[in-house]
Amino acid sequence: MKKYGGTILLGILAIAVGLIISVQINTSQGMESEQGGLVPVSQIRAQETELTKLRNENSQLTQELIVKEELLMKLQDDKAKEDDSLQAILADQEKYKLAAGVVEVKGPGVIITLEDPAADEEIGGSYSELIYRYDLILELVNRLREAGTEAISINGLRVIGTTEISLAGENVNINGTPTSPPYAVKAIGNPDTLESAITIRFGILEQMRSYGIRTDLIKQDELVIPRYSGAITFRYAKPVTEADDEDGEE
Amino acid sequence: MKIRKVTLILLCLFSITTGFFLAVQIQTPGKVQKLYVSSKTLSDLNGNIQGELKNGENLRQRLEETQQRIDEFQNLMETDESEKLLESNRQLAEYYRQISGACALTGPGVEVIIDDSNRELYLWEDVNDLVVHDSDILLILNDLFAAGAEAVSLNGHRIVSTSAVSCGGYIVHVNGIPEAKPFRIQAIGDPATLSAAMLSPNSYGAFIKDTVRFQVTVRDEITVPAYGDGDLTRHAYMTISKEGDGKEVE
Repeated sequence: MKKYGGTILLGILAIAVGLIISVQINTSQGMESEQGGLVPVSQIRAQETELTKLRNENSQLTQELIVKEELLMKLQDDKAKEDDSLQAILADQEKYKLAAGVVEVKGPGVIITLEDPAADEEIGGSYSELIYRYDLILELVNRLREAGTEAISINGLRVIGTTEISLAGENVNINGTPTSPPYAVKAIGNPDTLESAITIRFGILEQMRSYGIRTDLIKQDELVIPRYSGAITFRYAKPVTEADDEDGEE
Repeated sequence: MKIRKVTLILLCLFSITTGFFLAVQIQTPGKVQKLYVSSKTLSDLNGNIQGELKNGENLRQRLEETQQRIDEFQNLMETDESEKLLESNRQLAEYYRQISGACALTGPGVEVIIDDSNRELYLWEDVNDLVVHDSDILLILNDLFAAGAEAVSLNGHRIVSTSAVSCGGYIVHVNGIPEAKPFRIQAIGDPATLSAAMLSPNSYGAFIKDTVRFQVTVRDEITVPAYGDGDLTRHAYMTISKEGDGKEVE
């Protein structure tokens, strides 16, 4: 018996190792949703479908909103025909709405797409050049504004005066909404000026490409930029009125 | 011979066990197709889903808001109260005016002053490290907006959706107007949050404090001018005026 002692032990050990390995594999499969690696196709497809579903839902909501806004405008216009003072007020509303970015606009301009460098298995992880160098996007927006852009959106989010582009975990928050690459930056302005201003040698797009970011630019005769969809409320700021100047009270 | 038989049986048992494990192992995920996915793809997908969810939430709020406005307008039209109708539209126009940047705002906030450093250069240090750049200002403004600033001005120029801060050599153009150092940024918002965003260890403010002069002051009352206030001519005035008799100027 003593002779086979070693063999039996080896057998038991082998079974134990087998068990451990199988347990190990099962455990690591449980974490797939967070870490990447070999992931069931169905899971990826489910997330992709969810994203598509949400996008469709949102574009439908946007359409509904536009229909409602048009209805309100029509009501106002009909009434304004018989009321001159209302007409003046509505003209004011329109002017300020346009400046505040709370209305959808269209016009000629450029669409810039930004994509992360092709995934590098060596670095791996969730590292994204575009997200960690969000200041490049900030710079791009600034360059576009310099070149006379009148309206900008990034991934469907309207960039207004108080819009932030800030790193938040593994996303970049724009208007308090998480965003991820790839990015589509739309800008309304003179397409030729905009194109030249950002594709200039050693300019912002070339700078981005030097980080491996894939950029693409197309000029369009007409593109649509959505309205700012958040709520704008002032908690701290109050308007300066003429009464303020006189007696310091409202 | 005897020894070989036992070994054979053991080997057989071992193989069967291994085979069993293998079969179990392969069968379980066998029904699921797998795909190699980097964790970046997963986190990007997830970020986009979160963003669309948030955007949908915003759009639903706007839909509700617009519906309310339609209802209100219709109600006031039916009851034929044109004074109230005018008043409610006047209020709406005033709201749009306030959020568009066409209105001076006042409230608590912080004042940030950025100036070139006045220390000597270290050995091998570049002069560019000690002067304020447009990108520094851009990142500070961005941090303020991320911290919830409601209205911001830079050297007296209101920052709105078309405002660019662009480098022009020795000066910086703000809203197209040349401005030189020191740069005074005034922001209305929660003073505690804003000053924390400027001074916390990981902020951009803490980063540039080593190379340029950077000063943050909390203020109970800050007034941010309207966009366009004094943006055209601030120093030159016409020597002729309606009131003047033209005798004093030869």
